[in-house]
Amino acid sequence: MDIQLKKGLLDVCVLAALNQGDSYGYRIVAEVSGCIPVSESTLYPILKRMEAGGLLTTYSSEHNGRLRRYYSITPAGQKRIDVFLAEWGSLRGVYDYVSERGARRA
Amino acid sequence: MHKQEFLAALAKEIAPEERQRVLDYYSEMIEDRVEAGEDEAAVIAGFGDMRAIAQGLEAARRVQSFGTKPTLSGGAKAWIAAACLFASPVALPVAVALLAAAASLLLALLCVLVSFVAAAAALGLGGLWAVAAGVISLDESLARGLLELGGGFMLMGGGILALLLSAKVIRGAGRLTVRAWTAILRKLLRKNGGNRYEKVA
Repeated sequence: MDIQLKKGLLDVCVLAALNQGDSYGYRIVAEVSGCIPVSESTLYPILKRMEAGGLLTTYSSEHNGRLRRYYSITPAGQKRIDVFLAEWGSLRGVYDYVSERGARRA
Repeated sequence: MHKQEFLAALAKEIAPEERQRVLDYYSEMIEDRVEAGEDEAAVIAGFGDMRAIAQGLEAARRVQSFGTKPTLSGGAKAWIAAACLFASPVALPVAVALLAAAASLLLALLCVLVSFVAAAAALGLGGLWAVAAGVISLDESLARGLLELGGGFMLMGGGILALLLSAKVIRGAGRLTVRAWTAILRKLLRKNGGNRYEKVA
């Protein structure tokens, strides 16, 4: 998959995972990897960038005697998902057109 | 490699301002995966090459900081404020002198333009006077009257021509002045309020 496309999709996949409820790094990697392969090293800058952009917020909570950083989606993050869904809704028609006419002839 | 070794080695590769957060992130990842039943050494080995991790993080940090305005620390702001304070005895008179020079240049330009108009008006009025004198002189001497009339008309023509030229020069100078000030003000406003790049969201 194209790197820029994957980057954009990863952002929204992470936001979608957080839209189900606050989560932490390991769980986000596990959830999102079911859709697009993502490593811990790839996820870190994404989370940081989205936090800086106001799409998510973070807080720390104690877990088994240690602090764990939780990520929470913001209204701006939810709006980002809405924009993605609207854009991809319009692209679906293009996909259908290409898949109908672009298949190799036997 | 064990967690502490990995974190200590990673710390050496990460920029100081980012270090603690990155170490906390990887520490949490290792602990969560070990808690889920994975082997610590295998988890760390799965992260890949240390340098690659550090380079990836640094590249992401640079991309993120590219669109943002550089922020000044409190110390830097204090130094700049002190420098402004100490420079003000020199900077203020220099600024006033520059403004005065600009104003005097504008005034000089205005004077030159006014002198053009005055010269044109003088030519026209002189011509009118000569024509009037020529009409009066016609009774006494035809040749003298015609001479004065001719001279008067020539002067009036010259005056009208000079007036038209002056009008053109004034219009051009006015446009140039307005353009120059607009360009200067635009540059100043762009410098103060402009943010060329939007923050990367």
